[in-house]
Amino acid sequence: MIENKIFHIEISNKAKDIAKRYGYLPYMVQRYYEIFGDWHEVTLFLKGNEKPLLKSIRCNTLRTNCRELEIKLKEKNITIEKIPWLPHGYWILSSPIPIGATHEYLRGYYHIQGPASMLPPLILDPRPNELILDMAAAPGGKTTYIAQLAENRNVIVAIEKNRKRIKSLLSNINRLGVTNTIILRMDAVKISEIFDLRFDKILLDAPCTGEGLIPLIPERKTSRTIEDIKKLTKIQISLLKTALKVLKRNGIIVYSTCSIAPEENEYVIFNVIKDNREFELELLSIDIGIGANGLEEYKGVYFGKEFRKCKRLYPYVHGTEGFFIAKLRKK
Amino acid sequence: MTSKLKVRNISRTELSIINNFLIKNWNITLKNLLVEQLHSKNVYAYIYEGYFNEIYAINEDAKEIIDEILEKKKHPYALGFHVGRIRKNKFIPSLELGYAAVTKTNAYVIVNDKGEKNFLYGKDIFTESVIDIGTNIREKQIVLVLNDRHEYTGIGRALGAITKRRDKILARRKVIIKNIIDLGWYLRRGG
Repeated sequence: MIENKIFHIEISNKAKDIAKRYGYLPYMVQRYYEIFGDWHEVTLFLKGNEKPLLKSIRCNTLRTNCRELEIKLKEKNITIEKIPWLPHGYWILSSPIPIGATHEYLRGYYHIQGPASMLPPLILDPRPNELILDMAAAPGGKTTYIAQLAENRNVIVAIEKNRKRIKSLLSNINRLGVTNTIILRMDAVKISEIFDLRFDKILLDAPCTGEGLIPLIPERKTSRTIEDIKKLTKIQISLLKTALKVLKRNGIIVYSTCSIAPEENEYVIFNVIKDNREFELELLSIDIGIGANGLEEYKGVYFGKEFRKCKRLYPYVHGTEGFFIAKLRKK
Repeated sequence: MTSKLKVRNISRTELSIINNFLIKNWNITLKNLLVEQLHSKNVYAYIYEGYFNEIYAINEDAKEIIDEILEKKKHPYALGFHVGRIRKNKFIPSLELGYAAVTKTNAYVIVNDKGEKNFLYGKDIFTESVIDIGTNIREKQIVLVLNDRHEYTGIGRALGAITKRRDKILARRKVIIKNIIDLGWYLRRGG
């Protein structure tokens, strides 16, 4: 019943017109109206997706200190600007050379990483001596940031299923000086069946349709159907349920996606909380100084007031890739 | 699941091969090289058996987890710190091991900008590019290659002895350091 409500879409003529103008599949634009509740806001969002995003890097304190990095990049005529809401994030304003080919990059002094994707590790707040699970780790931007934040003094189990992507995960781990990670190539859903491990904290940056990445990948305007979203929602729910099984009591899960689709975000969490009978799950506030609140309601399905504690990032408002983050505690 | 290949504890013989290499070339043992890096009193080494036997090192906390994984007859894709590989009883250090050794050994050459750039492209080093050394270098010694800010660039093999007298670098060969591995690998092969 709820699933039907969430995935059933009646497309208005207005949505069809706007979709044609901006080159989207009409079902997407109709959903944007459901998200924003206002056609003017939908238009601003779509216009924002046409603008390229600034590149950004994360200073890697496992290999250098940020002040030295600033000086070195300046010497190379690379203009950077500190991202005010990220402790290690910098915008790349201009660079005469590709930023993925500098000696500083090779030495692991920085990692090229979207600003929104630096947030989940910060929100997870990893501490020394904790056992942390990263359930979809490649290419390793978030895994290596978790290691950096705990100064390599925790243990991270990083799972990745994809054979090609796992190579880039390992390469980034090595380049960035991460020494505390155990990489498993497997389907993360099976971790609870195979191991008795219990984690203090879990990052689930779930595989998603990438609906927040349209400024970077314009093909995404037409490449995914609502059925694709439905399929991924099932995977996301199953991953989140697995995460809860292997999380210690009072442990923390950060759930994130690079999608703005409520079906892949608030609905996933709502679904898991609703079905859960074994323990209490609490959505926690996220204090990061940026982001819009999560949705309380979508398409007539009321998720709850506490869903406002989640954070949504939009390219047209925040200058980042579209992103969603939630923080949960298992009681 | 994770791999058909097998992870197992390192043998005494294999550990000796590594330590003999490290003491001979960098005057340090594996444990002393990595205890700080791994924030650990002890260093535990594992072998990932394959065409090359890849060696990884971990600390006590990670060991507990690895043991639990191995107990379930599962094998990680990689773990902890990549030390290097053993093939035909010969140890080949990893890029990362060289990086960790920068503050631990005097077995290094310092090269100028041109030498650094060439080395990062996988090329060898000319004597004229060497501007300093940490200590006298023997022929065939495995050394770290650093730039003029003492930043790590890679690992090379001395093709002849290198000494320093009155601030002058002395060597009898034109090409003096053979590139074994350099940080440019991350771009060329890293994935």
